[in-house]
Amino acid sequence: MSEKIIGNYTIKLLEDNCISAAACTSVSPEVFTLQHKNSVDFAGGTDTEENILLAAQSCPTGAIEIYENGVKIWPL
Amino acid sequence: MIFPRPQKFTSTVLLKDFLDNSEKFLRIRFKSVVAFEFLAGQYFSFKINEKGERRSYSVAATVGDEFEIAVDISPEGAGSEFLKSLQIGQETEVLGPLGRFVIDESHRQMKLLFVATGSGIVPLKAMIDDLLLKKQDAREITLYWGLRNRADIFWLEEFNLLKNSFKNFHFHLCLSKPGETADYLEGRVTKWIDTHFESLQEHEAYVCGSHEMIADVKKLLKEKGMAAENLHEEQFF
Repeated sequence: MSEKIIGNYTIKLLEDNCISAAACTSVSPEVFTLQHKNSVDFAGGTDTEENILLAAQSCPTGAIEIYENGVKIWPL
Repeated sequence: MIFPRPQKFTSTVLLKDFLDNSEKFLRIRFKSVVAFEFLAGQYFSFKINEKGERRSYSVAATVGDEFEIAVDISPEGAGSEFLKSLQIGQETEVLGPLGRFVIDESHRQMKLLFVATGSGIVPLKAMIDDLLLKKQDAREITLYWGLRNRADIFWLEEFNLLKNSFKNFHFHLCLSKPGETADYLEGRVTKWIDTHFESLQEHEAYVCGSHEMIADVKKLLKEKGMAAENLHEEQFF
């Protein structure tokens, strides 16, 4: 599991859940990528919290978890 | 390949009906309030409640500012309930286009093999329509589509019309439980790909279906000599 903090969000990637549907990379290519391996990874950039949350919500397998101030806000 | 950046937009339900006799595959046509870009094979994400939950559905066809999805609602999950509840004229929030399961235009010399089971056919139909009807692509295009039985069949007329109109399009419908009919190939798609092809070294494949089906097909295609970079997959679950 990879983890990164952007703004108030802590983003956790559940790589084993990823099916490379590429919703996250379409919504927020600055933050998420599928380039380096066959599952989601961090791209190295940043984005708005709104867009990061939308990318997580768009993932069909719930492979992206978002925590705000230690509280899990996605998936519900 | 450059993919269009997704946008959120409102769409209105124009049409809603079942494609098959078993009322399993629901077709819904939407009209978008904005112009949208789309590559055949991509999907849209629908906001299904105010909690922010979303469900993704492949686009079967687009015409102007209208698009159509076809969904197997038999799992009866939250997404199925949302789609069943939609009424003609109702507005819904859509995000898209999403995904990178599209035709790789850098492999123009390859013959094309499409393999789907169930509603995995939806993105493939968009791709095949785009190749044949819009681009008049002359490459050999072969489709294997696996369903359980006759009651599950839909789009038969559409695919037969393509088969009769384009000599380079070959369509094989495979029923795993065909009953007494002898009209279709009996058995799984892997059985017939194995029977029909000695080698697939000159082919590029687009495979859509369940995790298990994709694993079985990939194993077979690799055994037939297909290079890994020529194998594209989209998992439905």
